[in-house]
Amino acid sequence: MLNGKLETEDYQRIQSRHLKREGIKRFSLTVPVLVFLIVFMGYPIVYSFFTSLMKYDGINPAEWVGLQNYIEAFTSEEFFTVFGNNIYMLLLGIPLATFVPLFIAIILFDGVWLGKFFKVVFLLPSVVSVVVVGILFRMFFSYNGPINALFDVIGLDGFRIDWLATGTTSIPIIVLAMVWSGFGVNMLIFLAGMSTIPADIYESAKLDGVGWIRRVFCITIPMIWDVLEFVVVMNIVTLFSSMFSFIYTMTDGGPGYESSVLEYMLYVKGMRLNDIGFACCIAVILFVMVFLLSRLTRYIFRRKDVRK
Amino acid sequence: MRLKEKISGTIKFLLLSCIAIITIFPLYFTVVSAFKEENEYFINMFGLPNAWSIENFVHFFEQYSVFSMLKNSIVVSLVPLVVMILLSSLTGFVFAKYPFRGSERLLNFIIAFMMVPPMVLLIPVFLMMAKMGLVNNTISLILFYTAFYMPFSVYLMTANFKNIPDECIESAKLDGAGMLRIYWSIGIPLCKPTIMTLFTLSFLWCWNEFLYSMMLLQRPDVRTLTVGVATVIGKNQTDMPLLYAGLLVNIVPVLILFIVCQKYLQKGLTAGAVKG
Repeated sequence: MLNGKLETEDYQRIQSRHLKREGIKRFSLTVPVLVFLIVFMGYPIVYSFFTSLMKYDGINPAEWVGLQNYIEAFTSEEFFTVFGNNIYMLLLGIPLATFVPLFIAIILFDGVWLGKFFKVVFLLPSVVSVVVVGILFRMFFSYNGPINALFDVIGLDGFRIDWLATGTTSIPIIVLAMVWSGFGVNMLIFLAGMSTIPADIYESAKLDGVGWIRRVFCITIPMIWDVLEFVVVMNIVTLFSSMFSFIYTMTDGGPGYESSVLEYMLYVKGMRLNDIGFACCIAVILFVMVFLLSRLTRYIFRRKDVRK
Repeated sequence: MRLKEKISGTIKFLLLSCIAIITIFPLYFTVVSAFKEENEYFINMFGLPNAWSIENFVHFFEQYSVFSMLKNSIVVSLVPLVVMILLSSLTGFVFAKYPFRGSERLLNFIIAFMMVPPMVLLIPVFLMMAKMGLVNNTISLILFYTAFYMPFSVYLMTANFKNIPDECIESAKLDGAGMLRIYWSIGIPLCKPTIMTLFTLSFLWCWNEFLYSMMLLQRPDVRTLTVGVATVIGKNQTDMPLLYAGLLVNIVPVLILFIVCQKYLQKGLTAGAVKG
């Protein structure tokens, strides 16, 4: 710069400073979103991790107790009842919530008379609030409800039981409510996946005389493998961690903890019994479990995608 | 061969019809029960009502402060939406068209929040709102909804802006428009379909959301309709037809949205699952 001439070094310095300033300017535009996320989602997660190591009732100052909450959880009987219910729900729910919509999507994709109409009808339950679905199912399966009345009409009086009174019968019904309210969305996702399969594959398969069943298992399902994985992961997340509204409206988790799952226990401990430390400990377990389960699913589904 | 196709077509049609009946039946039952009298509900359970009486609805509106609940529901469904669309479209625009160092990683960080189960956040969020004195104030719910549905809307907006050709942006740049100017005059008009999709989806989510609206808005005068239907009416009401009328009032707005915004809804629900 001495003789009024810019050296290349100076150029680079000015340019890099300019780039840096430009980068900061761009970054600053994303700050509002980040603030929202960090304040209302990031901080609560961190808070849960720390509070899970404390004894805290919301009024008295928190007291550091280390892993005691976790030990308490893993040695208590009710925790395992509740966790068992979670597993029960997963085992019942994953096949139902995955294969029912897949089957419907396959039929719809073949082309059926009034197919568009069916698509809209199947989507209908998914816009209705899960709370409404829960109340509807509770009334349907109540002792004097329509399902029992239907059994009377057919003459199967023996089936007339109080469906939601015990965990063994109420959990399948909670899963049923979840499947009813969600299968339309999953069907739509499968259909969207199928619409990306190139049509000439089907044509050449047809020329080779491939039957319906082989076409489904050897072309359609392998071709939408990553969509299938997505649906299974979403189902796991829903079944494991978003069943609260169903349970709250249908059984209230009872009797006892018979139809509770982890998140319902979290709600009871944290909001009703004010055992905030323990509730946060369950929150952490829930969070970790969801993470691990979705990882596990990814692992199981890995490398079978024919497109890769 | 033709005959075989016809038979299989008929079987498929019948199968789907059965499933459709199972799907529709609870909704049909809600509608017919809402128009029945209390005694008729138990005598004539499945048939159409003898006389379509709107008495249940009159009772429902008289006994509960439905209009106030409706108003609250609309406020907590629409306000987060506006904030969300403004912020997420700007962020998505920056991520898609003006990347900076680490922006890819930042986007992944934001999207990762989509997998957080709502229950995990409940207690910290509730305590935080209590500390700020916002419990029983609609602002608390508005803030939380905005944050909770933000990752999805940032994801949708980024994908949307990535589809806009770079030439549009370049030519505007040559004309001397700044980043914000390009965002406002080119970006926003081009993402109207995405805004509609987001509008439909997040309205449905906020309208139907239950856990947080129950916890954060407990006083009767700030209660939302979904919570009102579930807790006050759903738990204590023994008059079945009245309960069905309440459910129906909660369903009708989303049904209208469902019918009007069918196209956007289908697009939004499959977003994220299928690439390209």
